[in-house]
Amino acid sequence: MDDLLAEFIAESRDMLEALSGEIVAWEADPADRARLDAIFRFVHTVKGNCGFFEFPRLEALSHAAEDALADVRAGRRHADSALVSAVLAVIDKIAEIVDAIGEGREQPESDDAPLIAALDGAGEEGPSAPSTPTSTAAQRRQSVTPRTIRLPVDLLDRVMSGVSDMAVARNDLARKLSLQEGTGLEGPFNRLSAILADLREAITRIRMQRIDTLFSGFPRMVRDLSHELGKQVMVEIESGDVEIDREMIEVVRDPLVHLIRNAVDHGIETPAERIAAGKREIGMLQISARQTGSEIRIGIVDDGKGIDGDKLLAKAIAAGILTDEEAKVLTMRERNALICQPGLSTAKEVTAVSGRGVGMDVVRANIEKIGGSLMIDSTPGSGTRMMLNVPLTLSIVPSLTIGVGRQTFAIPRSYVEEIVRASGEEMDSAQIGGREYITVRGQRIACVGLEEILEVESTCPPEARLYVLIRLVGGDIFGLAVDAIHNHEELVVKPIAPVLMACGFYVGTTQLDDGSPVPMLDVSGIARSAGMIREVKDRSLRRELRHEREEERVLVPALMFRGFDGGERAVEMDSVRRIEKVSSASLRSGADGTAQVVLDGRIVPLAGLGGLKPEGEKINLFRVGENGQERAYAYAEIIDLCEFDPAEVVKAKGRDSQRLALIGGRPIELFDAAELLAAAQPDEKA
Amino acid sequence: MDHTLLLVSIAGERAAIASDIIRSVVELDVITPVPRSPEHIAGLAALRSRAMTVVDCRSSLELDEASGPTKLTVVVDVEGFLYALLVDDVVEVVPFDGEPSELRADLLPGWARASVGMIETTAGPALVLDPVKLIEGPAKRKAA
Repeated sequence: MDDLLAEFIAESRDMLEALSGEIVAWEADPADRARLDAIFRFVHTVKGNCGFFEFPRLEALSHAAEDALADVRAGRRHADSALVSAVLAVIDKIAEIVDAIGEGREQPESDDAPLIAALDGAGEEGPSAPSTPTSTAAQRRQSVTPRTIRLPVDLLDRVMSGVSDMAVARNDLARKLSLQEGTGLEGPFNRLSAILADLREAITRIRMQRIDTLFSGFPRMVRDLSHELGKQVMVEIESGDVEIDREMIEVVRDPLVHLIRNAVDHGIETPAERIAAGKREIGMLQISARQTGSEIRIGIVDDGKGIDGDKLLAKAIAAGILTDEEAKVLTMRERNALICQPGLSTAKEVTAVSGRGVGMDVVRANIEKIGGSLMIDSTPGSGTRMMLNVPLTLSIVPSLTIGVGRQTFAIPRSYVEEIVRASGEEMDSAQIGGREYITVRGQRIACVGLEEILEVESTCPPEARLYVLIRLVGGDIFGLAVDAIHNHEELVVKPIAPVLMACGFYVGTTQLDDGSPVPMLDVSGIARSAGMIREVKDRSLRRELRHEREEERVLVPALMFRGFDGGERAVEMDSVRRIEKVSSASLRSGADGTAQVVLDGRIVPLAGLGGLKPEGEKINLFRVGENGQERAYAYAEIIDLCEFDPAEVVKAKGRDSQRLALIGGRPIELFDAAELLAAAQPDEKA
Repeated sequence: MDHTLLLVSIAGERAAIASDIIRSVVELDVITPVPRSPEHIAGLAALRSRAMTVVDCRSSLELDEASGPTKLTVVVDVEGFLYALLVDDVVEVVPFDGEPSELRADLLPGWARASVGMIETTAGPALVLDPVKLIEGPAKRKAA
């Protein structure tokens, strides 16, 4: 019942909001039929809804207004200004009562009879006094709705940057003042600082918008969607008066829409399935928002069939994302998070609405890009709860300022797991294969020095360094060694120029209190440059290889990659000896198209470059063949891990050696390792 | 084309920048270097509360480095970002009507890439520079 009530309130409020413009227009031109119809529909809906609930006052009011308007529509009555005023007074009263119900307050004490009488009597000349209710209605409207104006966002941004400028000037002034004593300026200066701090806070709030503006479109979307899918879904929205940065609204809209579509499409069952499962025919979808500190938590809860964790796990193992051993130690939440892995979806069939395993990974990436997170809890059979945490604003990021050499950088605090000191007792460090590893509470973590990545000088003795443990997208942790940690700060982050963005190491710029600019580091870019992300992938890849051999599956595991010629190919895992990333410096690319690379201290023929000089400092390649008979093949990027059915492989016409496999519903050229070994033979002899 | 141009001097040559995108001319105190950025990017600096990307015009034009450190910059606004272009000197503002004439001679590669044409001014001929090209810098060479 409460759910229905909430929906009724929300619907009425939405309609009232939409109606406000219509009312004004109707007031100006009572003969306007379209406006009349819109207002009639509203009172009609209110009256209809009152049938479910016991709101006698609402029912009486809406009924009276509906009667009067029906007469006008039927041409039995003329819409004169008295009638218009009377109807407006009734609508105002309805709004007031609806608000009171929504907030759980007592309904306002007043007698509705004069309002209704005004409606009845409005058409006739007589003693009716419609002017009284209208004037009070107008007064009330003024006092109830806050007075608002529309402003261009540009102007707000200008005001905001003006206030930021003032803060920088203030800090400058503060430094200058501190050099002189007894100027008598401290008092006024402190007052100025306090006012500025207030102003800054107010300006930040100016950019906030009620999250309702984001949520208001969802009921309709769910209604249309469930209709399309032959399902019945009831939406309950609870915005908790949360306010959110208007830029953030735009950023979270798409991910939210995707999650809701998923919930309706894959979560909630058809009425027949629900009845068979002993549930109510109508599915429930709750969308709620709460503010906790500097974060907003948006929950999307459905009472559908939940996520089939076991199936997901099996798929993840089959796709080589996890091993059996790794799978056993996953928590439920980590297991559900697998749904965000590219290429994994437990949906039985692909629908037009959602579900090809693309999407959830994009949703999660988009959320993490803005420093948010996504948690999924699910109970098979009874529902799924998705929790989206996003920061309150995009522009103010809780950050850590760190130093290397004489340089300062900022990193978003949301990535930082913990900070350990090199000399700390709880930490142990070791050098393995040219890379530093630290052990913290039994966990071995690969580390990289920030100075190494950024090619700057560290001015700090190794034993005094600090390790910032960073948790990456996907849960992997790596250590970033820095010389110093300066501060925890809330920084105003602004976009960085494209020419610097292109370096791949920075996401924005910010300014410290003294006005000096500081680049904000791109944590995942740094991890990628250090090979931290690649390493993780390689490891699971090799495990996958062993695992597949043991199980002797019918399907052949393969690695789909994009070559330097732009073509997509798949190579059978069994023929790949190793996947590697080597420095471009260790390869030679001849003008005649031949190329060689140094691997494990030997020169190995390299194919796949097609005479191109690869850009970038690292190059991806895989190795085939045995020791001494080895060949390397360079590729631009890994597309996916996949499987294909050897029974489905066909020979392409024209070229006798080219074979095509059916992968993901498309024909993909199979890479021929034997041909590569044979073709490179003369080179070997030379 | 009916506007004014700001004449600047870069490596002894006279160059012009359309003044409609110029926000200010400032002498920078401090430039915060940005590691691993392209060679012609000198770093970041602040103009009040806004960050600017500092572009070394000599480097972007593939010319020799300046003998003394110059700190004089022309601040331009390109697609909402501020860039401070390091120049040797700012000469004057000249009115200019019409189109810059095409260049018929072979220029040094950097100048050829970043200029849109030549103009005759009261102070003599000058190349009109395209700030977008200056910011882009020399063709992508990885600083590996």
